Amino acid sequence: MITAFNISFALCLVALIVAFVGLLNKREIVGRIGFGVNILAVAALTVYIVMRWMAAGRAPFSNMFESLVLFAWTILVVYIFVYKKLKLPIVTAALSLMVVLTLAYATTFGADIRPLVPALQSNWLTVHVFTCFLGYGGFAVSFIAAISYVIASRENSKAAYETKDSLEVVMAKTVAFGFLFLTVGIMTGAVWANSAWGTYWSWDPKETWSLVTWLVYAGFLHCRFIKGWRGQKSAWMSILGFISVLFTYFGVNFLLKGLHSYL
Amino acid sequence: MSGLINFLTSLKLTLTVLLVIAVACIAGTVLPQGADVLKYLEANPGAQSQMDLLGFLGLTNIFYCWWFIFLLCFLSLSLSICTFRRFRGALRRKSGLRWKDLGSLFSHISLLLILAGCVARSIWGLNGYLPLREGETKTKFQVETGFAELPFEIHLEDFEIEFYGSDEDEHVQDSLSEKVVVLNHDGQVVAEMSSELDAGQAVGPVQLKVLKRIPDFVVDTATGGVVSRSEEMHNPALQLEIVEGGTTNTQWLFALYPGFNMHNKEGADRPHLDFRYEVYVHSGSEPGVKDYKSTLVVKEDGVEVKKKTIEVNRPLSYKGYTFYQSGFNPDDHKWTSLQVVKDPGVPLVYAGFLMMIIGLAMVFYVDPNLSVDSHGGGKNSIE
Ligand code: HEM
Repeated sequence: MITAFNISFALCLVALIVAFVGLLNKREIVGRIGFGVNILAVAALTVYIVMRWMAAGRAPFSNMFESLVLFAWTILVVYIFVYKKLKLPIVTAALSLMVVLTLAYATTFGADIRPLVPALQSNWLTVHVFTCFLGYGGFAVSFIAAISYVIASRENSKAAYETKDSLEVVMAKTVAFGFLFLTVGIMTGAVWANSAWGTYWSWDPKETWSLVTWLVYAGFLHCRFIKGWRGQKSAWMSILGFISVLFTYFGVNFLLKGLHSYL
Repeated sequence: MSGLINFLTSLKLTLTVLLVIAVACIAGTVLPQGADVLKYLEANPGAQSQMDLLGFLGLTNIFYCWWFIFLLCFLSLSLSICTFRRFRGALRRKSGLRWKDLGSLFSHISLLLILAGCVARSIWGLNGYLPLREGETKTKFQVETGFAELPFEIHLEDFEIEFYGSDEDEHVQDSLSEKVVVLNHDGQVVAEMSSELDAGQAVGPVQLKVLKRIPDFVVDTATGGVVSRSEEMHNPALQLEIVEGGTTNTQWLFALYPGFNMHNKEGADRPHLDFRYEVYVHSGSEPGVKDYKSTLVVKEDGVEVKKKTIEVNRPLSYKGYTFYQSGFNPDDHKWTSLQVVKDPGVPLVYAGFLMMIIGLAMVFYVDPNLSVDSHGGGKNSIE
């Protein structure tokens, strides 16, 4: 089983190398190869997750190692969906780097399968974690697009107008996608909490931070679609949103205590 | 007047309110809240006056203080007006209603439904605690202010605890880790601490400390003292010192028998906390509670009307009351402890959830305008 993990990790590394080659050699074929490798990486990671699922008899989404693997998977999946719009070597490289770092970080946590405490034995939990992480995957891709946009907007940048334009569109599309799934994630989490503890919201730090993240992206959507904010302003909001995601994910675990401290 | 309303419902003010709510939320996770204040004061005795000031400003109870509630009310009001106006505008538009209008209407109304559900809970909701012994029938449960009456009888037919260790869990574990879990009497985890010797921790006003840790606990029949039979983790046990309000108790915790806590003192002096010593070992003798179940029977006038075996995550609901498996009595496996919740707001909240998800999906995917005019002043721009 761990071989499947190692193969996916190796494929992600290959994708990273190809992406760096792509930075130097801008030919279309390099990008295609990199995309192909990424597809293989997702496939291998999917196999690993499914194997782990079967071995454990439950969804493998319940500790730091498992959730980081899932995070890497969702980033890749979202990336594959927006690839057509975003064939930029720099974006590919940044995303590959993010995926590799996520998996590398995962290996610092134990990969052993643990039994679950009663409160975690729920299908709602599976849906909750999966949808939250799909949301995070969307926000991660948006973040990369936003950073690239900010860089492309510097005065001496040679970035073409179309490049910035597609970054802009991807940035907003992935936020919309992420927002929808974060919303589903928060709500299924609430339903789960209600079925386990009789209360759908208890202001624990992770819940509260997910609300903060949600509010930031709600702000992004309103500013962009109603007030017509474009470009750098909305890019910075996407970056701020992702910082909030990271804090919700890691910061709360390490700095604050609460119901979710096992994940 | 309409100028004032326009200002109060302007997107700018609303977004500012959302921002303030977000900042308040952050403060609520950073500043000590509610019961944590005591703990904080214990660690920093000099901070009394700061805490008093924070308390006065509502900052030690942010999510329930008047100005936070006020912000939510304000948001609801401006949201209602704003949504109503927009929808009226869309209805009057010559080009007719679009899917997107409906999606936007749904995603905003849903928020109002959810908030209304929370209000209903705080006005008509009840949250209490019900300990039951096997064979017992009760019609009341404990709430903060005393007892609440149930409109029916609840009877505990059977209570069971299962532990990890049966062969279906063979794949588990290839390493060893241990910790002490602190629970309140509702079975909720309030803290975790290391099982290292001398590891100490304060939980509220209670001071905890690990005195002894024994891998293979036996009582030496000759001396009556505690010894370890071997170095293997065959019967891991841990002695905890609990200091509360000047009295000191010690308690033995057994990883394999989470319910079997040997109290050195019984009765009224028992601390208001439960403890679990959790050890995960490779050997396949997986300790720790896997599940606990109560078979409950609902009766009306002595006649059985409903029966269900509940466990964590699988409550029983009847006539608006929901019974949750919340814990067990560590001293006596014939007892179960149930949490009883009456929350008339839940249907509203769930309807809101569903509506928001449908609404957002409609806005983003049924009639999306995300790729249109992506540069400069959108067609939706109202500013
Ligand atoms: C915090 C929760 C909120 C969420 C999740 C939310 C969500 C949305 C969404 C998804 C849209 C559609 C964006 C688009 O047209 O593409 C929207 C539009 C809008 N929102 Fe919100 N909103 C929230 C709060 C508010 C509040 C508090 C107000 C104002 C008082 C507001 C005012 C508006 C207005 C005026 C529109 C444009 C409506 C339209 O295009 O028909 N929103 N909102």
